[in-house]
Amino acid sequence: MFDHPAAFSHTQTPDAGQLDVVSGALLPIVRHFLNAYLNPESFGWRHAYGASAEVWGEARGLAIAHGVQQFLSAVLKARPVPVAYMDPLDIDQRETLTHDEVDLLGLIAAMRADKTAQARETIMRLTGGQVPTQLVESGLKLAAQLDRNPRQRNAAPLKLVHSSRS
Amino acid sequence: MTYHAPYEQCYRTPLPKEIFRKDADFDEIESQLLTVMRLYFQAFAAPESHAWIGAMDWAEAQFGPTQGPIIAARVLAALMGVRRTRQSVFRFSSPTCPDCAAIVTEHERRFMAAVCAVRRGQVGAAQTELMMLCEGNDTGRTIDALKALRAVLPNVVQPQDQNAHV
Repeated sequence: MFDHPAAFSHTQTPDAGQLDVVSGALLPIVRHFLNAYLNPESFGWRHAYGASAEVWGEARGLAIAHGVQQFLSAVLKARPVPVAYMDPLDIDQRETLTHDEVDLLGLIAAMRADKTAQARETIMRLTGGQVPTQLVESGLKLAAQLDRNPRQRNAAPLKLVHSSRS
Repeated sequence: MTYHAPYEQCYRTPLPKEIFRKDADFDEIESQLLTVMRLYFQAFAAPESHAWIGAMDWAEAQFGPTQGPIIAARVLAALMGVRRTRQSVFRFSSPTCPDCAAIVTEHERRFMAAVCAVRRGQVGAAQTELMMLCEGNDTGRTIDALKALRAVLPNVVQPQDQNAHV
C-alpha cells in the first residue's frame, strides 16, 4: 500500500503506483467481504473467496481470504460506524479508494513491513482510539500469510474520494 | 427450510423420511461436512445470519488452517451444483438449533449419501441419489465437485470386520 499512510493527508490524492501488488490484489477481496457484511443479500463472500483463489491459487488464496475475513470482522466489531467502501462490482469505481480502504490496506501493509508505530496509529484511526487484541492478532496472522516485499503494481492511478457507503 | 435463531430449541421430532443423525452411518469427517453444509444453507436462506463465516470457521477448526478453507470451498461448489439443478426447496435442519441439528432431513440424507458414496468410490450410487435430489436434472457438475471434494478429504477408515479375509 502506501509507504507512510499515517502521514498521508486525507484530502490528498495518492500518486500513481503507490499501491503495491499485494494491496492491489487485496482491494477487491476486501470490498467483496465488506459488501457481504454490510449488504448480506449480495453474497459478496463468494466473490471474495473466488477472487482470492484466482490470485493466489486455491490453497493459499482461500487461506488468505479467510484471514481477510477474520481481520475485517475484527475491524467491524471494534468500529462504532460502518466502513466506507466502493462497490466492488462497479467498474467505474475500481480505481477509486475511500479513506477507510486506505486505512485498511495501509494497516495490513504496515504489519507486513513490521512498522509497529504506523500500524498502531492506523488501528486507532480505524477504531476511534482503541487497539483491540483480536484486531492485532488477526492482522498479524494475515500479514504473515502475505508477501513482505511485493513489487509495485503497474496500474492506473487510484483516486481518493470522500464517498461513504453503509 | 427450518431456520431457527441461535440457541433456540424447538423440540422437533423427525418427519417421515427423516432420520436421527445418530442413526445415520456418517463417520466423523462426514458429520463435520454435514455441519458445514448446513451453515452454508443457512447463509443462503437467511443471509443476515452471516452463517458462511461459521461454515469457514467450522471447517478451519475441524480440518486445519490450510485444508479447512479448501474443504469448505469444495463443499460449497457441490452445493452450488445442487442449487443450480434442483427446482424445489432444499429442506435442511438448522445447525444452530440442537433439536433440529439432531435430525437429518430427506434432502440432506440424499446429499450426504452421495458424499459418502463418492468417498468410497461408488460413483454410480452417488449419481442415483443426486438424480433423485436434483429431480432428474443434470448431476454432472455436482458429481465433479464431489470428486474434487473427495480428493482433499482424509481416506475412509474401514471397520475391522469389513476387511477382506484371505
